[in-house]
Amino acid sequence: MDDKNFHQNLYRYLDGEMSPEEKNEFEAAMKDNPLSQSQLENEQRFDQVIRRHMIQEEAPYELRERIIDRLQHRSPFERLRETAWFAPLASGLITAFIAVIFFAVLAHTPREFTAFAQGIDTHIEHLHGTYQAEFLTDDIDAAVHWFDEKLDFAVIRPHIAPDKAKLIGARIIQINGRKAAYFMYDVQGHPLSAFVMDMNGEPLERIRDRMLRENDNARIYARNMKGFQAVLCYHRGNDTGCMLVTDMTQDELLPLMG
Amino acid sequence: MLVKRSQAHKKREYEEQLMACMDSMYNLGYRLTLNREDANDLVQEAAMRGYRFYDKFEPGTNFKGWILTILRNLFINQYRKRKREPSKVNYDDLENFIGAPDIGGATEEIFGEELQSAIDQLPEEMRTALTLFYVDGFAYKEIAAIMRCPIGTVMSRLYMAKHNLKKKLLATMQNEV
Repeated sequence: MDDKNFHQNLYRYLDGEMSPEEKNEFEAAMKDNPLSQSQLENEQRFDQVIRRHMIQEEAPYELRERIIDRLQHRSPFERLRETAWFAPLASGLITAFIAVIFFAVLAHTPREFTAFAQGIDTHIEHLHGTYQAEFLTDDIDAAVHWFDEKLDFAVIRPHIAPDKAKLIGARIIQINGRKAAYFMYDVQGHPLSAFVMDMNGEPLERIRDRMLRENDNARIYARNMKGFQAVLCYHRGNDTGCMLVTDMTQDELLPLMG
Repeated sequence: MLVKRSQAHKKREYEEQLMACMDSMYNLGYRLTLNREDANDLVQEAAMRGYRFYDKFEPGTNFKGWILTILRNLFINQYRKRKREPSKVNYDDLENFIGAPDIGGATEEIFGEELQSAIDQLPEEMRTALTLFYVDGFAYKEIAAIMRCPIGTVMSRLYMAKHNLKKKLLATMQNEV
């Protein structure tokens, strides 16, 4: 038996953790080894010293009395906590409270203005062929009239000089979760998308830093993303907006708007 | 009426089992906190918590082990942070087995106090293992359940605790000489 094994077995033997077979085997090995026997005897004496000095004290009488008294006179809250339904009810209330706070914060958190990004993405999808015109026409009045009774706001003509851009067609699209009028144009080989939208409730204050111009009737905002230019003209009077998206530069686009 | 009677029965049953374990709880509480007042508070809190969760105790299983587990967990979660832990044992020299000093007769009295002080200076997990083994007489397996560790860890904690006690006592013997 090597040293490490011997010491491990020594303690297991002293602590009464050996099976009868292991105990017999250990005692047989010890019999022929006086040095190990002497070590065992020393360890046994040391063990007994520890046992003699680690005696169990009696718990104070006052402690017992105090505990019994507390068990007898538990507070109403302590009694409530012991009931089976307390934990699920408490968890439910806490969850409900957190949900209320969350939705209250959400309701008061200002929305982001996402129309620019959505308009540009829609224009890109149109370039890829995803969106085709539902109504093919080059007559802007016919196109505007086509939206009658299809949308719940008055669709205006997009702000594009008719002699500078060729109308191809129109369709309905979703911007900001609302239906918008989508006019598809070609400007000397440059595809151009024009979106006419109901701007009621849109957080225009969030894009204040993107405002180019302002007068009594309208404001113009611009944004450049993913290599495309988006220009939004907002009409205060009827709360509508017209957003143009194209790959032309701002300097090329603004003159088209008149 | 039926509900009230079963609550009363539950309380009586719990109290009986609790009082039978009070000495063990107090001893472990003192070994953990090293302070009698803190030990009283710890035992009291463990008793109240045990009653609160008594429905989770499986009748017929080891109540003493169960309530001592609650007490120790309470100490770890609430008291240990406040207490300054004794200096850690140097595990590097654990490789060298130290034979037990030859203590007997008159010298045992001298070492009695040294031994108490040496036990108090051990890290909590070793004090706990020693107390549960020598004072309460739990087997390795039962200690492992209370301390929520493998049996091998219980063995090494007891081994390390005794190793450290021997070191301190041998040092004392050399000083006496």
